[in-house]
Amino acid sequence: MQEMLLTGRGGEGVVLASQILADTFARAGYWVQSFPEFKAERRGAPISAFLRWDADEPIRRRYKVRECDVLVAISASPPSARSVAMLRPGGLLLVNRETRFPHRGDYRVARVPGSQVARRNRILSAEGRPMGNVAVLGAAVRLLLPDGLDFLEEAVRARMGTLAEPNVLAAREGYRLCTTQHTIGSDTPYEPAEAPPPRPPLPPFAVSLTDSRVNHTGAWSVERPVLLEACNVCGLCALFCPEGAMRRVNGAMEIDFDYCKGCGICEAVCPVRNAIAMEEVPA
Amino acid sequence: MTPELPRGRTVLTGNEAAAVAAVLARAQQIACYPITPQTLIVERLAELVAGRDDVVFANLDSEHSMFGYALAAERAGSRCFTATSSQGLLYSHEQLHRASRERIPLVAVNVNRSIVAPWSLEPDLADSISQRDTGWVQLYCSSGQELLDSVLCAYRIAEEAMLPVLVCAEGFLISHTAEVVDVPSQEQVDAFLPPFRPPEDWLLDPRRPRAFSGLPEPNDYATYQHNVAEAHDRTRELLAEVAHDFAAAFGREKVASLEITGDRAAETAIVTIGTIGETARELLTDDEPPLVVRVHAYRPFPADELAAALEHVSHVCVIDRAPAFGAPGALGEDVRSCGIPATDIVCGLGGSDVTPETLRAALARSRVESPERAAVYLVGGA
Amino acid sequence: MAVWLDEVIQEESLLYPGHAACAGCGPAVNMRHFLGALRAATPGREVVLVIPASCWTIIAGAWPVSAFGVSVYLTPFASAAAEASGIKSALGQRGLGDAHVVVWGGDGSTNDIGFATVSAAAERNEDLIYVLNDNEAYMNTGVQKSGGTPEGAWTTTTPVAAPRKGMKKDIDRIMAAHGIPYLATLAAGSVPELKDFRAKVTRAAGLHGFRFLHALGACPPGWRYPTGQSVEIVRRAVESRYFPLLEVDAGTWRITYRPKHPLPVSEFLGTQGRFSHLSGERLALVQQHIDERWDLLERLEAATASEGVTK
Repeated sequence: MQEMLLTGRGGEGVVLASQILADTFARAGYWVQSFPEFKAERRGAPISAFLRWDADEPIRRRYKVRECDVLVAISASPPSARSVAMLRPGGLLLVNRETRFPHRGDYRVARVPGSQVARRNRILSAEGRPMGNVAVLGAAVRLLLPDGLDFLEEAVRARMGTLAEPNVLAAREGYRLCTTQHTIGSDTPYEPAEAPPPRPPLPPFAVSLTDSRVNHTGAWSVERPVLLEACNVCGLCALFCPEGAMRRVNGAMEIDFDYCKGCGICEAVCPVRNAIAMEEVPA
Repeated sequence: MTPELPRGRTVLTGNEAAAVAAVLARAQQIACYPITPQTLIVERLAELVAGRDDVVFANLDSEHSMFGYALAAERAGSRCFTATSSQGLLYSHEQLHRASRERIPLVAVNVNRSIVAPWSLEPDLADSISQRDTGWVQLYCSSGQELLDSVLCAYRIAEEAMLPVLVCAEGFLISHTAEVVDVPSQEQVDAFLPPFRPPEDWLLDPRRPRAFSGLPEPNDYATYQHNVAEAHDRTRELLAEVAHDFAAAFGREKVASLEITGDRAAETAIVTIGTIGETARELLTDDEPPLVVRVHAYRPFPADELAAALEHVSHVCVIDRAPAFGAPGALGEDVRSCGIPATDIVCGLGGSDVTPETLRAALARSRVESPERAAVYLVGGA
Repeated sequence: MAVWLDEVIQEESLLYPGHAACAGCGPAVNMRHFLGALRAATPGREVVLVIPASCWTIIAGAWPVSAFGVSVYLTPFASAAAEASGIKSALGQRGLGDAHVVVWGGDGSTNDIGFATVSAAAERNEDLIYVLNDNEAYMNTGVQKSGGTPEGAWTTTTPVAAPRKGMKKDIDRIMAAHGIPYLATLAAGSVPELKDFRAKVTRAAGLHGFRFLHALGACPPGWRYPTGQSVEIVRRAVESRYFPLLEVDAGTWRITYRPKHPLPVSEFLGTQGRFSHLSGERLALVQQHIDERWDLLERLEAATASEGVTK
């Protein structure tokens, strides 16, 4: 039995991707199991799905995937250190990203320009973001089930309704554009950016002990605002920011990227041309 | 004009006794929604607290809202009382679960009434027995006096254990039955029951902004459930302690968990709950009298105490006054879980009368039935 | 405007950063300004937020975290208004009755499962502020139809092949019919709207009894539009008269903002994927219903102009 962890953000089709891939393996004669991480989904918040497949036997395991053979990062941003730590030694890491995953570790890395493929095929979310999930699946099939592209196409057609055709094209492109590298360009070992804070002991009653400023939800963002020279510091962006992440300090606007989720309201409400722009979050 | 509380040896219905107990316990909030046969409790309370500025009487729009109101008011620091029956208790089911898990020491009286369908206003215990897994301490009474006494004890138990307590009494058989009830004085009750002083780290205090009951991660969630179970385990001892204090304060015995009557060396025992326990005492003058065990505290279940009481008994007959569908009756199952082989007889449903003859028939039937059988129904006037 | 805006953006947000709302959450903008205006209007008064099951159960924070600088009490879906009544009463018994007790309930909770309880709290004229956080569907469970879902809208339970029939429940008229002291609709789609929004919160904060505030909040995943558009879409809702800004103060109806050149409602609907299937006759019917409701509000305003129809 092989186990896979798929990671991404709420709204990127991570759960659907795990189901399509399960369907693909099943069409190729495998026993499969696909399930999401059970928690309240928030747009942009980290989310996981799991996949198990086995050539010979039905899968009876009923607990979450704790270690995996394959880690698939659907998001354009790199997978979290915690996810990477779940990879078994020698496992496969498939990253949706034009840039390399620049870290050393005991795993093989493959990459696919999933978001680029999605943009090219006009596969966009309701919010206008490229949906690279199926392109990434094309790459996953190339690596794990090389004769399975037809099965993937069938699964996409069966599960995506009117959105199927552009996604079939994306699957093919993902399959074609997948590249693997066995040596890693950087010598930087992959280490958690910061250790999670120690958990307080459980008090007798479930009453809060601290406030949400310990949650750096800025990590959810795919894009983020950049202030440009034309900004006249009118403060409208701060007025409408749902996070309270924009402030006027010493005559200039300041963005707190610890909390900015990159929604783009600031850009939309800004009355000045060339005062604010959205850019992709640097890796 | 607020009517005066009855005092001393007086004749009250069970519903009146419950109302008087709530006032004596200095409940600060009374949450009300009518349902037969409980309604007389809240009607009487409305009269008793009218014009008092230290008690709020709140008319709500459903039992779900009524429990919600009382739970939230309790969390914000007021000692509360409420009462319901049957469909009303069922309608508040999610609030009952949440009460224990939120550790809210609410005291409520359930006047037992059977469950539709078909419609019936008469008693059996299906309403509260079916709430046994909601995490409430459940006390079942067999007289108006025990109902009054149990409500007073319930506040001590609830507020020391931080668990909700449901005091149950059968409709009509207790609620509408007028009998002699000894009503203690306010001074006696005040000496027994201190004011409500909940833990600071539990209390909703607007001056200390915090969030209550936010989603913990799965392992912490599990620990919180375990905490409730542990609180129940500790409550077994607390029941005995409170009964002891009660006797000292009021000069009257109070059953803690089990009432055991008769000869412990008897061959046969009859284990039951509620008013049937009183009727069973009439068998004590039979030629071969059984040991009579009445369960007062149904949750936490007094398993060790029961096993000890039945140690020398060779035949145990359990009387369940609630239907059992596809499994043994609830009380029968609990007795068996103590390692005691027992035949489970279901009778008294929907107000069917249970007389000594019914119980003799039950005993006779239990002797010919295999103890492994799920539940034996004694119905149709048998 | 500058002074007003300077003051508002300097406020410490009582909805803390790091909260768990989706990116671009319209109701989060509303929450920030609601709490900000309430605190500014009554600086010395504590606030208890009572939140029935909703997105805000999650946004409020996973234990051990709270996303708020005020107390937050989470309740089951149907009982928030009753529980808030209990809290207000109990705080009064402890000498803390000055605290604002606020229900922040969604359109499902308010229009549907908790409706009897909301109505009962209004009928008792409980001393509460009830905010209807209206994002027009059950969003926390993933976009299902509620009584607040507008005519023609797609949801997962009213798919395009069988879209929502009938208009959203006219909760404003229903609540006003209870004779409550104050009712207002709130929108945060522009600076003037926000001024109107905060002035209404200020008015509500100074009154006693049951105050009902109906806030429209745009939801990117549920309404299907890019996250950055949450404010502009609300502005269009107001400018198209889809969401009239009004108040009912002691029974007197008043439209608090009249768009000079109302946008056709298609200018609002067209921004969102949930209405993308609407066109032709069905679109015209929506426009007709919007116009009819506006006319009704005009008549209510005229009829109650001199004195309240209710007390």
